[in-house]
Amino acid sequence: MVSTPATGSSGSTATAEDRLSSLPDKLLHNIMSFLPAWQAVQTCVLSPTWRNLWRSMPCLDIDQREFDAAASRLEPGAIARPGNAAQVASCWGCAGRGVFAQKLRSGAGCPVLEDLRIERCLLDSPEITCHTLKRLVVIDCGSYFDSVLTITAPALASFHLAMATTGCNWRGIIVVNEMPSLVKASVCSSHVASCKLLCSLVNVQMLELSGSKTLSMLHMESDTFPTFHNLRILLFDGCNLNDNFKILGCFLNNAPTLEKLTVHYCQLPGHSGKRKRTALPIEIPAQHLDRVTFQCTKLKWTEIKNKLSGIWSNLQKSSITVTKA
Amino acid sequence: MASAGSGDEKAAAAAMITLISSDNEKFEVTEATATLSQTIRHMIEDGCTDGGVPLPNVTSKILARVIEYCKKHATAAAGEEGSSSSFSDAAFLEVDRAFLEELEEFDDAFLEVDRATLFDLILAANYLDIKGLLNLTCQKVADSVKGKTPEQIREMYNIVNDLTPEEEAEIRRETQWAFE
Repeated sequence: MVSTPATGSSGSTATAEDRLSSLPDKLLHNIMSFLPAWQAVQTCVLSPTWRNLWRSMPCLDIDQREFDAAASRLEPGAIARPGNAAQVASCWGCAGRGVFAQKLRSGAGCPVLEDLRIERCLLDSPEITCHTLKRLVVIDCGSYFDSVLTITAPALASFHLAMATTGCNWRGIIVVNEMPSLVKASVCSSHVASCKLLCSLVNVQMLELSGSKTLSMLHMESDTFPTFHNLRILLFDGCNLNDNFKILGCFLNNAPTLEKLTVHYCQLPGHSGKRKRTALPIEIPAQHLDRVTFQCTKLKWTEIKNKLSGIWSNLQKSSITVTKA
Repeated sequence: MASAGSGDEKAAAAAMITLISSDNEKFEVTEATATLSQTIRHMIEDGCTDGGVPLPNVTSKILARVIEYCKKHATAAAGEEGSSSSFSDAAFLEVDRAFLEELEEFDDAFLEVDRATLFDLILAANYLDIKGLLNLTCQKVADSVKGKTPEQIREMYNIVNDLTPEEEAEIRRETQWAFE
């Protein structure tokens, strides 16, 4: 707690007192967090007090749109120097070449970085390595070449990956090194979901998969389907599950602790494929479903939001037999 | 209006807390108003508010303003709780929107203060740990310097630049990208 009297000179404003600089660093950081990044940095020339203040800002928001076309001006080390204590950083539209973003991604200059959001960045050195990172969001990043993006973040608790926008050509593979503390993961992409990726998310407790093609390639590799020992909540959103319960089965058979399954606007078995996702109730032939049995002993709650009636009651009656192992 | 929680609100309204400013002025406020301050909330939880809460870092002038803010925002918080039980009701959403607009207007008017008072409010909000007020006042300072050159900011806030010209040139070189 600050011991400075809160009310020094509430009398006249004409004094030449520098009330701003005498605020504690924490409050100056709070003020700076409301400024665009470049202006927060510019405060370094105000006076010696301000010189290194921006380097210890707990939150950095670097948006290339603020910098004209000047990504190349952001030289290595310009921002992410040792001593930069940013806990939260986000980059929008930063080219990877020689840029602070690369340093940021490597975690080199940010010894306490916990939150990182990278959106629409060009990753030429496709590696995100940061041992302190707890939350990571990667959205629509591209690369000069098809390459492998390797993510190493052993402390990660929350991971969101979305590479769905057209025009962003990430055709490479995403490899995520093991994340033992992962609690929540969401993968939204037509391209990147693979068994390898799923394998690296194996410790997750809440998993969300979205994007229509996300799952189509999974059952090709279903021999190596991982077992999600901690998975409690599973959500499919806008996925194509119309594969005769293969994918759903893979998950349900390999998630012994699953408690809640949610299916949002997915194509389901029995779906003609011609109908819109949100169309009419789907009739599933009961005799067909009788054969589907999943071993999912802890499943308590299932929710299907495709349609208003019919489908789930059908499924409950006849389809998914929850077998106590 | 709100059925759920109204009993609690009444109970909270009954509990009054006395805040004592640095110049010994006493302010009686409801617990709901006082607990917008995390500092005071902790004191209440620890049961050390009997006989009033002395706030040696806050003058009566500033405390009066802070209480004004807390009263308004405590009502807002109570309103949100009340309406959440009937979120499906469009009429309530309409009421909420109107109330939020009113709150925004209140905040704007609240910030119409001289600079010294603004800094006093920042320090008081920090000391009392009132997040909303702290962000509101810090943002006001940020807005006042947004788009200004370092020279203009120095002048506005009486910042004495005791960097040597060489030092300043060096710093500008290091962070050139931010100045172009």
